[in-house]
Amino acid sequence: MRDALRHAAGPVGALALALIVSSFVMLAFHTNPIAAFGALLHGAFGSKQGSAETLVQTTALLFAGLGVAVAFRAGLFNIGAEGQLVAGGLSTAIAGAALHAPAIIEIPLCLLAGAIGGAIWGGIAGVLRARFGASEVITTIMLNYVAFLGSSYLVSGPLRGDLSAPETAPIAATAVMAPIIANTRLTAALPLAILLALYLWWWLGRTVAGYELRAVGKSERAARYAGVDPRVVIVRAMLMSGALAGLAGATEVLGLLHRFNAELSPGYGFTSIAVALLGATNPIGVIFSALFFGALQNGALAMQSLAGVPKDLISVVEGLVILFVAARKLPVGLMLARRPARIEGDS
Amino acid sequence: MIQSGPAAPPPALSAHGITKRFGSLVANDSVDFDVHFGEVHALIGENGAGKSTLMNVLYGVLRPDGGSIRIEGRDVSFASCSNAMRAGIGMVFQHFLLIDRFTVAENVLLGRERTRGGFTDRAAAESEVRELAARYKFGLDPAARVEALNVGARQQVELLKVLERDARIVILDEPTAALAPAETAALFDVVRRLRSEGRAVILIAHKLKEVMALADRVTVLRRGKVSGSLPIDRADAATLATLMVGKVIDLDAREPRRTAPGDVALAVRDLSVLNDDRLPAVRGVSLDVRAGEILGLAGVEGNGQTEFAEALYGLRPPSGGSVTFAERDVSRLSAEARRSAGMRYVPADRQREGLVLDFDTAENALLGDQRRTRRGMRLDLPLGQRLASAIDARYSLAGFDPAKSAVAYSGGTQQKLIVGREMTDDVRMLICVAPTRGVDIGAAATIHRRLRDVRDRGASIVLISFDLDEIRALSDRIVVFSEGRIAGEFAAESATDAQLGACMAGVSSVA
Amino acid sequence: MSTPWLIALAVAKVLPKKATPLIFAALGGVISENGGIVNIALEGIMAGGAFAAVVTSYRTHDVVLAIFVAVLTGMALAAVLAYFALAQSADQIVVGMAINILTLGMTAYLVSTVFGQPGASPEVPGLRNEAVLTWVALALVVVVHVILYRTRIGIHLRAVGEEPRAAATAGINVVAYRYAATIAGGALAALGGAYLSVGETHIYSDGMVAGRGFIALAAVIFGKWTPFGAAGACAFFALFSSLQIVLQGGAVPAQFLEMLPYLLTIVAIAGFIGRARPPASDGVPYER
Repeated sequence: MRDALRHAAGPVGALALALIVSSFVMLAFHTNPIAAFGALLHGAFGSKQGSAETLVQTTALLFAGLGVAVAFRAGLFNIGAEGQLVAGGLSTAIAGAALHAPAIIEIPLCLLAGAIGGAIWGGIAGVLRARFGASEVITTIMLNYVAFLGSSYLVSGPLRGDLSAPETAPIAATAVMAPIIANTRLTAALPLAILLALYLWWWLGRTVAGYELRAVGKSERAARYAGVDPRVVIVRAMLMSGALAGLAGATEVLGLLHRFNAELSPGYGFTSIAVALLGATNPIGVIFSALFFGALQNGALAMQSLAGVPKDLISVVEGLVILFVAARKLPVGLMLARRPARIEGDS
Repeated sequence: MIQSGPAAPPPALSAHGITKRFGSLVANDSVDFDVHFGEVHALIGENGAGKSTLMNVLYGVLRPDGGSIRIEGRDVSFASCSNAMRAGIGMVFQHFLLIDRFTVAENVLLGRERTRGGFTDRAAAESEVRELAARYKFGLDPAARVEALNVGARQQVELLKVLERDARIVILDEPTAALAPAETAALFDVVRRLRSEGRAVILIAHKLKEVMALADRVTVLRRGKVSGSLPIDRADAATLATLMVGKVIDLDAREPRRTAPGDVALAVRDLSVLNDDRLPAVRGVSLDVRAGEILGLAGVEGNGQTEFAEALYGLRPPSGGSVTFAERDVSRLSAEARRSAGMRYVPADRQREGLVLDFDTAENALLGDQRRTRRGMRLDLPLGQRLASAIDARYSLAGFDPAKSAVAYSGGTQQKLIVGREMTDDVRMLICVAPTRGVDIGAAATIHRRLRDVRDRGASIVLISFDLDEIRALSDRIVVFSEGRIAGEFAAESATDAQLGACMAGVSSVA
Repeated sequence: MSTPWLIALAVAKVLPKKATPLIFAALGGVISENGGIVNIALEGIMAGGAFAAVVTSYRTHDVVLAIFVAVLTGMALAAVLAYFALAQSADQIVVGMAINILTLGMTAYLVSTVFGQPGASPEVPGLRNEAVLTWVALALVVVVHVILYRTRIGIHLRAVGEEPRAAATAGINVVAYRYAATIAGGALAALGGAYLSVGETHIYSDGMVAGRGFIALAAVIFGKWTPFGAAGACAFFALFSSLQIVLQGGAVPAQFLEMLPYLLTIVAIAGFIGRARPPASDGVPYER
């Protein structure tokens, strides 16, 4: 318990610093930060609907944040969660429209399709890194755009299911994940994401595969010495990372949109970087930081309408959080260590 | 200290009472050192004795915690190496500081580029460097990129950097560590020439033969203190060795073995291995190791021993030849498969290879055996804790706590952790590189005892060490490596220093 | 005239407009990465520059001053990157991402607060002939090349990016060079942003940079970290977006033309067409 508090101190400090700096930004434009954050809090947790919507946002951020965190543990920086989310969402939408099975089979199959779609998108970067030493930072950035443009082409052309808008055909009724609380949009995706986080925490710390993934992240040479092939671990980590981001897209499609279109993600994949970093790349920590950013995103609208503060301010908070978490010499920094982008020793 | 007459000029450089601490470690403990113009002063000592620390202080890389430095009698204080360079000191580091993608001329003149009309003057730079190189008989092309040069040529570039600034005081940090014999001979000529030009040369070394061949004076550091300083005509290898290790080395301290070696367990045939730069490092080596036998692999560091060890353990695929272990061809097996067959490996680079520094002690105790000991898909962490405690019981790890990260231990303790993990009772084949490097004498004795013990249990051991004493004290047979080949084989009891030294091509360690 | 000629003419008109902002930003990336700092914040810095120019022009109606303020803004943002990378030893990629998110959020926030309407600014006074900036960009390619390869400053900078400890022992101030290179790079990227706003469209709208910063980053890699290479890559990438505009509704879906720079960069960095090798210490923190 004391350990947990000690681990939480850095991220909480970074968070506080980010909120203070953004308050000054608001003060500079003659807005009252207390009123703004009050409105935000009210919007995020002030009502049953509001709280549920916060949790809806939390869900996508949690899936994608876990993905970024797992990659980080393997020493990889997956900036491509957004593209993997799109690939996953599109795969799920295709599966959901094509399959017509009872819900108990259809929904898991659609989720699987999303995970596979995301895994393929992440796996490409993993293979390029493992086989050719190509920096996953660059390839995932580029793959994001390939996913955006590719999906845009598909929904405006071959996969267009509706003449009035560029989107896929709706998924089958049996593929829809229904709300678990009446009159909200909250689905079973949230408990699923939390269970996955717990599993991942156990997997990283207690299984041989998790141990080897962490070893590769900390020291590739030591991992090789221990009989681990870093290339296999890198590909596996990127597959897992992509699958998790893909699940974020899949649950969005199954629970909220019921089809694939450009509204799939308001940048969950990018925010998930902040989520993973604030959660100290620990799956349990990621649950809490996903909740925080979920509240921030959901409360932003209330902040805009009640306090007149443009909702984009939360991106400022987000950017500042990442900045302060990354600072190694501030007491709030986390000493995040990554491997350099090139693989030593073999090609 | 040499007594200088009243009229003698002050030393080129003198340091008094230099003290440097790193946390609780005193790396230099009021060290006195000086060097005169036209003199080669060797500084010797074991790894970790404080040689590099002292040189880094003299070169302005580190700030001393106490003491003073004088150049030609004037007090100086260096905030950075640029100050030291301006004061006329030049240093050739053991690990070269060269820019691979720059040309020789660009490297030599870095920071002092020749310009014409505001732009760099390539032709002038290259002709200047060509002239300078010719003066020292270096066959360097100033327009060649450094990445295309071999180690000897790179060192010449480093020397040119120092000479171009006309440094009056030249520090050479273990200059022969990575050189081939012919390159070493050429380097010796250069050092003699520097002396005849009236420069003061500080030569850091741990090979006594080099010191005897080159130096005018020698100072020995041991555990951060000067344990002796004497002119070379009063020094001999035995005296210096004693000063280095602090006790008379009794080369007859070999323990008679209680068991006889068994059958051949490891058979290496025509093994060839490439290094990281894809150049041949091991060239057609064949050897046998019997069960219950320690094969000592002697040689100057960098002659292919590390690559050979990595190939035996499966970290480096052979480019030719085969490795047979227990009558089974393991040449293509992974490190994991070889571990399962009973192979263990103590690597040279403990910080980056033998441990995951951020893992805790129990996790590190499982490193390499994580799959063999798995429980289903789970890591057997309780076993890791038991193993760690067992290692602590045998080697007494200072500050032991199974939940502590390996990074929190001292270097010697880290080495004990690795050695303890690898030298298990059931090991059948052990590859050991410099197992006692950087550990204290008591721990070294424990490790040596354990090596014999493991041997007597029937394990085959390949002991690679750059410390000839260690090789001679432990080995049943000695093989000398030179430039990736076996240069000779000796029975341990009958090999003499002279034989081994000659075999290592005149650059041997005879301490 | 035949159709191919018409297409070529149309492309020739569009291509400089597409290439210019990319060249500015890519040159910025070349400078900072040759000094060893990876700048993936080009996207955010371009947005910051574009926005600053529009606000200044909106308030003062002085376009030259607007461009000047844009440059200053870019320098300030790059200084943040440099500070966290150098003084805080932070991961350069993480900081770059943070600046992207921060700047895109901040500009959107400020669009609402300053202009009182979300999404976009009103039209502001802009350059009457933005082709001037195209010539400036081309001239800068030559200037940066000459500086990097023919002057002491350039040699020192590349030494700092390749092997900072060698540079330091040669008396070169590694940290100062890295700050200077990153900040100079920020100035150039912001110029690219200013071209987009007060140069081309005379407005600022959210998301107007639209990934150009990342394409510039791709051009740096594709051009093997050299000014001419990067500028060439920018022109090559701009050709595709020009074709896409000219051939609207043509045989090739627009998305595929837009996708090409990203795909080609992946191919380049994976080494399929000659190894793209960055400066040896690019992205590696320097610890004294």
